[in-house]
Amino acid sequence: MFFLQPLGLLFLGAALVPPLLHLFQRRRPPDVAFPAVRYLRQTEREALRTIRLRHVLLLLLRVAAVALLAIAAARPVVPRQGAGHQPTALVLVLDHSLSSGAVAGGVRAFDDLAARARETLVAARASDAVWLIGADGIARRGSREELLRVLAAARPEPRRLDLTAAVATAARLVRASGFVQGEVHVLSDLQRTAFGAADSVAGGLPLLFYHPAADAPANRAVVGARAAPRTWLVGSPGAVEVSVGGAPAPAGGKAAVTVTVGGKPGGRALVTAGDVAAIAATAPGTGWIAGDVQLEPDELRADDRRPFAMRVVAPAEVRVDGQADLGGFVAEVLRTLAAAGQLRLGGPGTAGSGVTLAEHAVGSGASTVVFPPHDPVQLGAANRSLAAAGVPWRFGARVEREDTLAALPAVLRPIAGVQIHRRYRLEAQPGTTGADVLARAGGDAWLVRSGRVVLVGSRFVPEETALPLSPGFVPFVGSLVNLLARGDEGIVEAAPGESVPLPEAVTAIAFGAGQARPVEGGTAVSAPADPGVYPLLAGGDTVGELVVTPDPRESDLRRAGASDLAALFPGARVTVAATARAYAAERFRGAGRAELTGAALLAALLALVVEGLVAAGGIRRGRA
Amino acid sequence: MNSRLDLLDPREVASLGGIELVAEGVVEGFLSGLHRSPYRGFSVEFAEHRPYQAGDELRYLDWKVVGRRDRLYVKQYEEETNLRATIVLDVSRSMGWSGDPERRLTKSDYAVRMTAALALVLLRQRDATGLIAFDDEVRVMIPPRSRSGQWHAVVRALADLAPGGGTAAEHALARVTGLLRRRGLVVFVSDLLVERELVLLALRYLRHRGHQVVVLHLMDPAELALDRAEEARFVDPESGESLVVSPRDLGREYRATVDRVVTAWRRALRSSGIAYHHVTTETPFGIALRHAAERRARLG
Repeated sequence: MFFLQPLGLLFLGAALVPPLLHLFQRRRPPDVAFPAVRYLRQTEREALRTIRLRHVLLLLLRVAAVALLAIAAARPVVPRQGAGHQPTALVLVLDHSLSSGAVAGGVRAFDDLAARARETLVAARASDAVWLIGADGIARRGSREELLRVLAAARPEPRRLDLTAAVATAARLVRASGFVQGEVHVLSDLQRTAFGAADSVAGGLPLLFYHPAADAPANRAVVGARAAPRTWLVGSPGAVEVSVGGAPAPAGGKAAVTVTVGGKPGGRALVTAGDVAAIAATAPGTGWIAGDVQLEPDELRADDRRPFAMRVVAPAEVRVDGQADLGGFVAEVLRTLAAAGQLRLGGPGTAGSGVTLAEHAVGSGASTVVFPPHDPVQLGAANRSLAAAGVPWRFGARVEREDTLAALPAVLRPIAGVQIHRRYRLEAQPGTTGADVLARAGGDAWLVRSGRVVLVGSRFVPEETALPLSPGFVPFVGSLVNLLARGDEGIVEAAPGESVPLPEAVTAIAFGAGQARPVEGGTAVSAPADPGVYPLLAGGDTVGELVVTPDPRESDLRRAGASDLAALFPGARVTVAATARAYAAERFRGAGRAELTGAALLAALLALVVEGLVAAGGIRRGRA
Repeated sequence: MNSRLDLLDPREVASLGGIELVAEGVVEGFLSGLHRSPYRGFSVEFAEHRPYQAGDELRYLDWKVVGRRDRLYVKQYEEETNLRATIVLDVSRSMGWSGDPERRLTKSDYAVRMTAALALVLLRQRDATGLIAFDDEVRVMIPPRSRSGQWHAVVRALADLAPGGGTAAEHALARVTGLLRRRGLVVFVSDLLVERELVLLALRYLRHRGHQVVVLHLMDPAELALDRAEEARFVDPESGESLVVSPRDLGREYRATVDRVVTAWRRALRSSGIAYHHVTTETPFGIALRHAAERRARLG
């Protein structure tokens, strides 16, 4: 025998109440004058044994009634041998997503879930229609043996399974099956984050959820890792921004996180859940470089490591457009950076491969930093050049007001707070995104990037901004020409198995060891199932990196409760089982088991009735 | 008094006045009932005929008269008496109890009024009538006499009585044997919460001496069955003995015990030729009187 609601057994403690009342609630009764006490004494002497027996019987009946009520509350179930079930359309949703690799109570969640799935498949009969939905969300129908083979090949996958969508798919399959009996079983660790918005598609269907009995383990995870910026200048130090998350939060203190860049160890930091740490690192060599961030291992290993990618470039070759008047400060700082080896000054022939500083866009695909024209009359021409280059930004109205620079990425923080005296409002055209804006002044965009074109709202002269006089000016111009103007195109991020659009030039995705999967550039492909950094190839050249990282929601192991599930699937007959026996008892509409709740309630009622009869002496009257 | 006080509720009858008035009213009713159902005088000499009334026993019909006149007549007799009757009354503390004082007389109040009425009935028959009242000793002793004023003496003594201490009926009965030299009638009124064997012995001795003995076993209805539900400490007002009992547990057994006690008294007394009547304080006085006077009719 086992119990569907074992917590109900806590009420067994109430069975102690009747004997305790009997022992501790004795009070001195009132005195009553009564001459015939001798008759009473004679009666008591003759009936003493009967009275004691009746008291013991009453006590036992009361204890039994309370105990039976407690047992009924726990919903006892006994197996019933030889029972079958009606032909059933059964959809088995096996959540072997990343979080199923978590170990709780010494057992990996996936192993527990797979064992339940195997039991259910074995219990299925040839007359049943059975589907198996795995972490990829695809429903597979097959015979028992076929699905057992699929199950045997399953393993925890680093992808995320949307359980709401899976249940919706399962419900549609059951409804379309034509079977009178239909069931949807969800074998999962039941992360709250695995569910979407409430969906009534399963209304009226029995939804049987099973989760491992052990509580979800504490989990700490790397939920974000990216080079900041993604393009580094060779030989210059950079930083990797690391976000730490996961739940439930571990009880301990901080954990060590290590950054590895190009196979070489980088910086370390002590972090805790919720931290965002910038960890310094130096890139080895140039080109596309992969790295990863690793946390100390915990009960869920798959989210303790997260890959990232960066591009390391040589100093840019910079030229100033001949028609531009950028002021003396720009020319001076370019010479200073060139002297320090941070850039190379180029001539008129460098426009295609280097970075051009100009007062108009110089052509499609060229890396250009566009400043407002020194002559306002040229503003219209500048905007027309931007339109011709496909840049969705324009110089707008002139603003003469004291503003400060704000909302800057890490690489621009040295110029945060610098005063802007005069600027052109940079106006977005249709097709722009907030991600284009690199810096704002007075709430307006001041520095934006679109592809390889960067627009600046003010000229770098003291009349328009205090920037040339600030200590951050030299490194800012270095970052502007070496990193910002070159863009971070080429790095594509995706979750395992997710559909991701590729850049136009890509022809194949490399998988290491000389293996490559041909793809068509500009189309969407399914990302590899395993996390990692996959080079994007254009012929023999690497033109980018596909970074496959786990979905951060998989790191939140907090479990949805029965009430949550009932609210998520309104109208469905939701049952939650936490033990193998409870799950087996509910499987196939409870075939093969008998619930004793009614019998226990009946027995409790019978005990109370007998108690009442004994207390009232009814049994004796009956005998008399 | 127009109504039959002997058949009314004793509590209501007692509320009409003092012992004397109540007893006279009860006796009037009792005797008028006897006229309708001739009890008195059938064992003595013929006096006259009277028309048959419903309730008259057929054996007293005078069939000769019926044959001659074609109407029903019964024979009535004159009674002669030289009987010595003694009423032995228990006034122990247990007799001063009522299970419901608002609705019922105490056993003692009931017994006093019934005794006064019985004495009046006997004296009106010119029987020498006496009274012995006792608790743990003899409290009152009025020798049997038939002179005028005897009844008032009995009533005065009864009015002065108050429930006393313990019960020692055997001593009182021993005194009776000394007082009653001639065979006569002894009416013993008690709740019989006494030393059973000793009292039985004394009563049998009286019977052995040729007395007609009538025992009126008086009980309050609340002594017949436990009428409360909650557990209580029951205290005997006479002995102070107490016992904690839950009537819910013992109610039925208690009733059975009382039945056995009553049956045992009845059997033990009747086997010795002693009349026994079980009377409660709700029994109309007339019925109790009829029980008490029953043996008087057998004495010639």
